[in-house]
Amino acid sequence: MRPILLKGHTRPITQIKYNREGDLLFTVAKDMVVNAWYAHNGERLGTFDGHKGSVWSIAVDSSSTLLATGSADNTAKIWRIRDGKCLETLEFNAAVRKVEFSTDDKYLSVMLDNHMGQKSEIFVYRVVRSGSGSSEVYRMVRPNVAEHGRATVQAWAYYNKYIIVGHVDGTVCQYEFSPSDQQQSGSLKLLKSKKIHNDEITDLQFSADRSYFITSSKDKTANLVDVETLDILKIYKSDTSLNTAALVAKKDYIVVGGGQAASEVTTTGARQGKFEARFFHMIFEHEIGRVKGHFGPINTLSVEPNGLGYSSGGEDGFVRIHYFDDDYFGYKYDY
Amino acid sequence: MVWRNCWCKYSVTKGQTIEKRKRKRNGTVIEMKGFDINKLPATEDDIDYSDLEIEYSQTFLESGLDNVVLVDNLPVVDEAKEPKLVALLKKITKGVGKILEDGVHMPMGEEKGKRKSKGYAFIEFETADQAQDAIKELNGYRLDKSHTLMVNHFMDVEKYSRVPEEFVVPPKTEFVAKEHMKYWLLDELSRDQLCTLADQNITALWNNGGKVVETILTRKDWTETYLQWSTQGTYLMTMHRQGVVLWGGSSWNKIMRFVHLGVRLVDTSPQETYIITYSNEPLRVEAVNDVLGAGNEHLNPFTEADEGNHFCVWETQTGRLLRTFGYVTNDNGEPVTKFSWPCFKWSATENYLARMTPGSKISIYEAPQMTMVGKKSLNVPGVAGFDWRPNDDIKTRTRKNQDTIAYWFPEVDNQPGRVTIMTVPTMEILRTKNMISVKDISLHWNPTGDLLCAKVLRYTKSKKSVLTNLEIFRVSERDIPSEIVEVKGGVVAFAWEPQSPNHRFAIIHVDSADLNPPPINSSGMATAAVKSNVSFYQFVRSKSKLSVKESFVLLKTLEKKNTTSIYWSPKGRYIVLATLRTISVWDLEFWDLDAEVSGVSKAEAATASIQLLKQTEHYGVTDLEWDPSGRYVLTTASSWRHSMENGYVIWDFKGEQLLKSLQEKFKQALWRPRPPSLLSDSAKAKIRKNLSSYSSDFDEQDRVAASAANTEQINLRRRLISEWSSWRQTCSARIKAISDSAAKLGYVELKPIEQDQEVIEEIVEELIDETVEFV
Repeated sequence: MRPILLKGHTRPITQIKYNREGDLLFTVAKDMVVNAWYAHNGERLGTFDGHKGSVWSIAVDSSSTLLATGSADNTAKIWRIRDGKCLETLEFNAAVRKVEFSTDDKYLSVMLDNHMGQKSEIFVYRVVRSGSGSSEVYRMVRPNVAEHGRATVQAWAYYNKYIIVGHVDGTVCQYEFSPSDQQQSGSLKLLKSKKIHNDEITDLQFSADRSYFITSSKDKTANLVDVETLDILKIYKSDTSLNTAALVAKKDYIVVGGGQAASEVTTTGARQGKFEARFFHMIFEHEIGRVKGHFGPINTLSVEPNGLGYSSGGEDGFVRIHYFDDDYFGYKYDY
Repeated sequence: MVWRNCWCKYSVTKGQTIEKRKRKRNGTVIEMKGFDINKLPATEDDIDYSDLEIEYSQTFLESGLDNVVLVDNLPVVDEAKEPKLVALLKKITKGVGKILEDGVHMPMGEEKGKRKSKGYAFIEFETADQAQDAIKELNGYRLDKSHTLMVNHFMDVEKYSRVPEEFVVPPKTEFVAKEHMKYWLLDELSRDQLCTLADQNITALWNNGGKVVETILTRKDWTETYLQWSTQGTYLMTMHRQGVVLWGGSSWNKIMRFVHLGVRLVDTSPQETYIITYSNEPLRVEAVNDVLGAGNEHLNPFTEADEGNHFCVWETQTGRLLRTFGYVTNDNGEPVTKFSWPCFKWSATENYLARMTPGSKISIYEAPQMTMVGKKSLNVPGVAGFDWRPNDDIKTRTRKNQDTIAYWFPEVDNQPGRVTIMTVPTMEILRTKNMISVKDISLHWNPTGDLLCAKVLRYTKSKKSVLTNLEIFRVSERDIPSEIVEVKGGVVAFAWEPQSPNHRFAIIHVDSADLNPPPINSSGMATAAVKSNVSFYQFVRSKSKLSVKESFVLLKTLEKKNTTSIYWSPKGRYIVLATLRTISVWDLEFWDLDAEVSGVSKAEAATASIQLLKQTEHYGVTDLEWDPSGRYVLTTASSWRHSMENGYVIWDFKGEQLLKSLQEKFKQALWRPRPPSLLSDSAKAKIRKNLSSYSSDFDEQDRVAASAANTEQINLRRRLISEWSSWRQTCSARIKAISDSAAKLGYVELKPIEQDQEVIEEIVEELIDETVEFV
C-alpha cells in the first residue's frame, strides 16, 4: 500500500473529509488554509481562503456544491466548492469547534467552544439554496449543551432525528431535533445522556445508515454505540490515547488513530509515539493490522465512502491518502 | 498501687477498648487508654476486685526476685565436684552480669545414700537486667554433648509449676485433607505456569505452547510490592506491610503467614523448609501486638529478646519463628546496613545457615536449633565472600555427613589473598590456594557441585590494567586439582552450563578500559552500551602415552557484542546472550552449542557446532528467564525500569517470537520453578533414546488442541456474527418506521450513487533533454 502524501499544510491537520462520491478530499489545519484535493492522485484542486484563525472543522454537502468550515476566528463560512467563493460568513462570540450538514443537506449545525465562562452552544441553521448553488441561512435553535463539560464533537443521526454530542468527560448526549411546521424555527431537546468513556471524546463518526456510530476517546478506547439507546455495542482497546475513529465502508472493519500527545512525547523516538493507524474487526473486536507512516499523532481519519481506501491527517501536518491493496479485498474471515 | 490496679482492672471488666496497656515490673499502670471518666463507679464498694487480688497477690510476693534465674539441665554431681561446677557456672556467666556474693545456690539431695546435686541451680544477679541478659545469652548454651542449659526466670517457675500434673487428652480435631501442594506438576500436558504482575493485579497463567497463555486466576491487590516464587515453586510469596504470605495448592489459598512488619526481602532455603525475611525496620514487639489486635498477643512470635532485630528465620510448614538476627556489626561496632541479598546462605542439605561479617568472620548456624556450630563464629580476618557447595548429595560428597563451603579473602599487608574450601561442621580445610595482586574474586559453583570457579580479577605488574584468572577447582576429584584459564581484561559475567558433561562455561569479558560499569539512570537502566566479548570454554582431557593433559580450552570468542547477561537453558546446550536494562540496545541472541555440523574434523567440531540460531530484539527488555523445561524464554519490559512498551514476550529456544503481550504498568513475570527431577540419569537417557516413539503422541495432542482452539474461535465468531445480524435486523425495522414518518415531514432521502466507475489513465510525456547528433 503506497500512500499519496499531501503537503498542503504547514501546521497540524484538524479534520479531513471525503465528499460523497469519494473523488474529492477536503482538509483543514491550524494554518488557516482549507484545501480541496483530487483523491485519486493527490493533485490539489484549490484552496478556500478567508479564515483568520485555525480551522477546526469542515463539512461537505452530499451534492458536493457547498462546503462549511468552522474556525477559531469565531466564524463559520459557507463556500461554493466549484469556484471557491465564500457565500456566507456566520459570526459568533466563541471559536467554532464543529460544523456538520444534516443528512439531507437541509440544515447545518455549528457547535461553539467554551469561551470566557460561556458554555458550549449548538446553532442549527437552515440552508436555503437558490438555483446557482448559493445559499442563505436562517438560525433556528440555540441550546446550551455544556452540562457535562465542554462539548467536543457533534453529528447528525438518521433522518435528522437527533444530534449526538460528545463531551470532555466522556458523556454522549442525544438531542432530539424537531423543526417547526414552516421549518423556520425548531428545537433541540435533550432525551438521553450516557457516560461511555472515562476521558474526553475526541471523534464521533456515523455508519452509512446513521443507525450507529463510533467514538474515540483519550481513555485509549473506541466504542461502537447504538444511536437510539446509546448502548455500547463493541469496545476496541488500544494502548494509546485516541484522537479519531472511523468505520470502514463495505467491510466489517473500523480504523482508529491517535498517539502520544506532543506534550507527552518522550525523546525515545517515533516508535514510542504509537502513531500508527490501527484496524480492528468491527464485530470480533480484535486488531487486524496497523499502518504506520505519520511521525506525529494522527488527528483525523476519513474512510473513502466506497471502502476503497482511507486518508489520515496528522499532527505532523501531512495528509496521507491510502488505497487498499488487492489482497485486502480478497481476504475472507473464517466463521 | 492497689488503687491504680483497680482502675486498670475496672476499665477491662467494663468491656471498654484497651488500646494499649503497659505494666511495669512492679505492677503500676503507666498508660490507660480507653479509660472513661464519665463511667466511674459510684462508691468504692461497687468495685469488684476479688479477681484482682488473686491475680496480683503473687506478683507482689515475687517482685523481689526479679534478679534470680533458674539454670536447669546441669550435670548431676556429688559433693566433691560441687565447687567445681559452681565455679564453671560463675565462669560462663561472667560476661553477662555480676553475681551477688553467695549468689549461686545449688540444691543437693540424698540419692542412694550419697549427697548429690539435683541438676539445677539458682543464680542471683545484681540487677534484673543482668538476669534478663543471662537468659538471653545462656538459654540453650551447650555445656557439653549431653547437657544443653535451660535458663529461665525464677519468677516464671511459678507459672510453669501451675501446669496441671494430670495429662488431659486434648479433643481430637477433625482431619482436614490438605490440597495437593504440587498439583501443577500433575498437569497432563506438562505445561508450565507463570505469574505476572501488572498494575496491582497478579495473574497466574498456564503456558499453552508459548503462543497462548491461559489465565488461571487474577487477583487485584494481591501483593503490595512484588511477588516471588519459593525455590522449588511450591509457594507463591506476596509481600505486604504486615509480612509475607505464602499461597499454594490448586485453589491458590493462603497457606502460611509470617508476621514481619515492613518486610522488604524474602528468601527460601533450597528445599523450602525454611524462609528468611528481612525488614529495614527494627522489630518492635508492641508494634506487632498492635497489628495482631487486642486479645491476640499470644500469636505474637516475638519476645523482648527480638527487639531491634531485622532478619527472621522461620520454618515454612509450621510457621514457627526459629530465630531473629540483627545486622552484623563492623570493627567499630556499627551495624552494617548494606549487604547483598541473600546474606544468609543455606547449605545444600539445609543443615547449616551461614552469614558473613565482612572483614572478620563467618557465622554458621545449625538448623533448626539455630545454635552456632562450634559455639562461636569462624574467624577469617578479611573475609570478603563465601558460598556453599550446591547439590551436596551423599553420592558426590567429599566427606561423610559434611557440607562444603568455600570462602576467600584478599591480600592484607604482606599476607597473600586466599581461596579456601572447607567442610562443615568439622571445619576441615580441604584445599587452599594463595593469590597475589588480587582486585576482586567471585566464587561460582557448578550447579552439580563438582567444580568451583574462582573468578580472580588481578592487576598486571604495572598495576595499570587488569587481567582475569579463572581458577577452576575440580572438587569431586582426589586432592581437588585446579586449572587456571587466563583472560585479558575483566570478566564481568561467568556462567556454568547446567548439566554439561564437558563442563562448558561461558563468560563475558571486556577490555580493561571498559571495566567500569556504564552510567546508570535513577531507575537502574544503563545509559550507554558497553562493547563486550563472549567466550565459551570446555574441559578437555587428552591422554598421551606419557601424560594426561587436563585443561579448559577456549572454543570460540564472539567479539564486539553489547551483551550484558548470559542465560543458559536449564537443560544446557542453548544459551541466550542478552543486552538488558540498557536504554538504547535490546539485543537478544539465541545460540546453539551442539549444532550438527558435517565436514569438519573431530578437533574442530566443538568450535564449529557453536552456531547462531537467531538474532533479534525485544524493545525495552529488562529481564530474561528460561522456563524450567528449557523450551521457552520469557523476556519482560518492566515499568519499574521505564514506561516504554511494558509487557512480556515468550520465545521458543530457537528465538522465534511466539507471544507478545503489552500491558499497562506491567511489572513482573516469573515462571513457576519446578523441583528437581525424580528420575535417575539412566531413566532419563532411556526416554531420550526413545524420543521418537513419544513424539508422535505429542504431535497428535498438538493437532487436537489446535483444531479444538480453531473450532472454539470459529464458534465464538459465529455467535458474534449472528448476534450482530439480529441486531441489524431490529435496526433496519426501526429505520423503516422512522423513514416513513420522516417522509411525511418532507424529508427527502438521497439517491444512492451509481456504482459505475471509470478508470482514466493519463500518460504524460515530458521532454527532459534533447541532444542532436550528427552522424
